[in-house]
Amino acid sequence: MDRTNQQQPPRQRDMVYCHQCENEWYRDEHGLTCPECQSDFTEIIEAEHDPRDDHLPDLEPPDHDRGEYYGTPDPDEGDIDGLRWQQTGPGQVRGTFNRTYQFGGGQGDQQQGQQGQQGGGLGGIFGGMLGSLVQGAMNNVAQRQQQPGQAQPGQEQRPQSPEGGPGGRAASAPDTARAGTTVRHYHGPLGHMTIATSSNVGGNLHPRDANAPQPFQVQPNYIDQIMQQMVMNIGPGGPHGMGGGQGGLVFADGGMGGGQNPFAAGPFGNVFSMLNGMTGMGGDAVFSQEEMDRVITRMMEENQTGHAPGPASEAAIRALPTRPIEAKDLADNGKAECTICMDEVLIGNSVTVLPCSHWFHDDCITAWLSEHDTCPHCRQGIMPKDETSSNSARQPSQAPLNDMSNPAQVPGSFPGAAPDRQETSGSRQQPESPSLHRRASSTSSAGRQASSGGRQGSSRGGMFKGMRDAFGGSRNNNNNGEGGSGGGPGAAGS
Amino acid sequence: MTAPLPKRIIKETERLQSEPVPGISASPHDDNARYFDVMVEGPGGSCYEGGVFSLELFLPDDYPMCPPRIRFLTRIYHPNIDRLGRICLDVLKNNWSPALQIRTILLSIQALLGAPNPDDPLNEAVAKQWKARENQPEAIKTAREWTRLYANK
Repeated sequence: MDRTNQQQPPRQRDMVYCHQCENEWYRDEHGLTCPECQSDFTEIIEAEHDPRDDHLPDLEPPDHDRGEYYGTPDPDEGDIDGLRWQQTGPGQVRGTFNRTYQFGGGQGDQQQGQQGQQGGGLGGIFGGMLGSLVQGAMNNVAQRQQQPGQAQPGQEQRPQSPEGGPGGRAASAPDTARAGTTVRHYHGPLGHMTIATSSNVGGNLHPRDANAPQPFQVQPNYIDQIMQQMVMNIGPGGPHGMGGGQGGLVFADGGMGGGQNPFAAGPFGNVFSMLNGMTGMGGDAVFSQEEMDRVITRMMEENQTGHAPGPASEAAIRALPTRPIEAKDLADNGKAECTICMDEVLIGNSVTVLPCSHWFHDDCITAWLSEHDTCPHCRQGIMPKDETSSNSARQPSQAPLNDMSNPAQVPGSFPGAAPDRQETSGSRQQPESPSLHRRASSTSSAGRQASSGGRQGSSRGGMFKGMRDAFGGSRNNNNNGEGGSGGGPGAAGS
Repeated sequence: MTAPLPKRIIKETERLQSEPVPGISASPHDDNARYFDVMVEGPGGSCYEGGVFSLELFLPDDYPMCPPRIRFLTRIYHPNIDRLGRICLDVLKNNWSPALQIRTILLSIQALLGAPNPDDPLNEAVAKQWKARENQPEAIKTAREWTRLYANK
């Protein structure tokens, strides 16, 4: 409300504002088109006419229609005072305010100061979570503070100050610095938790309306931590805990988190770590089926080759021999072409030959092998298997490299190095790649199952494994995937 | 953005026109030579027989190093094709190879119509119907029904 500071940034640089995504930037740096969303629905910010007036939140119920959020009377809003906004540069607005939250469902107390002691029942916990998530369209930072002496599961703390009425209360403390921090402690039958909310406010300040799809917004940075904390603190506490049911969500697959996040134990943790790890792009909060479809489509697209074999080494690519095209290479029509670029190759032209004796333009096959170590025709890799397996540290329990039961391991021969899929040619009598073999021998049949996708399957599980599993994966060859009606690569070039 | 069209795309497009595959057509948009309108006929003998399914196909910038993006626009009841028309087909994903072409991919998709693979489903609900032996006639009936309803010429 009382935005005390609207002045232009120093040196009178024009600042431009994007109505589309609420981005802000200096005109001399990015011009009049939004660098974020490429929209040209932009406006130069002037001192007397600031388009952000329409966007910055005023926490009073406004006179114009802004959705039901604003229409809803919030008993807490009376507590807000001393709100000040400060423009510190493009995209940066800092706000400080005092605020007291009050939630029903428990007993509590209120303290002014950096640490508000909070007692409250389960309702208080949920209220607190929802309060900070829904109301705070700001960057939330949640920290779990270890206070071992205080945790009294199943026991409510008594109010410590007289004004604490029946109802959990948390206090937010004004910070005389540029950011306000609210620290709230919740005690309930299932344990206790502490949430610190820092109102170091970013530029996009729409309150959230969880009932309707919304335009892109920058996600509060640590919302996943909050969710994880929620699961962590509430979940394991009792049989009704939210984290209790691992199988509740499609994504609640143990492999999803890839072990990277120790907190990703419950469904929420999985979902959020998945969304986060996906592209680093924010705004993946999902409010509708459509949004969900969008997110999943994007994941599928990004992951479309994620399970494919990895690149061949530069050295191995460089070591590939070349030879000139001869008359015998020409097809029946007297022509030959590189199947990657489909350019015609003439007799005498130099081509690069793979161990499987398929040939391509040097540039073409280099570009492909640098991404996937497979022959475009027969999928055989070019890497000698010793190099292939050197990617992963050998386990002592693994079979020796020169496994006599697997005579194809003679260095220098290319015994169908790591055919990741079932061979379609049927001519080669080596059902498993060497690395696969070793893995199978060291981890018994279970390991073998898991690595049926080949060496990539074993080394690239990670978070997308869960997605693949959720979608049934494409590890099993579709029965018609190749060869079916001439669709296979072998039939492609002719 | 408007990099010159790779020769390969031009060649593929020309050949799709000059040597069309029976039951399949793909024609590029006038304003975007990487975007194709595709028609695939349901294979004879399948529950999609008689249907003409339209798809959209897009060749990304790094094609042929990465697969084309393809989606059914016509609604279809198939265990490997979901509500949004996304297709679960290995050659469109991990098993893509630059030796594959628009033509071969579309043939693979047509083959997928002829041989649904409920063991590797994208559409869980449909796949379930398809897999349970007692439900299979029902699933096939639904597929026929949808073909008649949505995949009319």
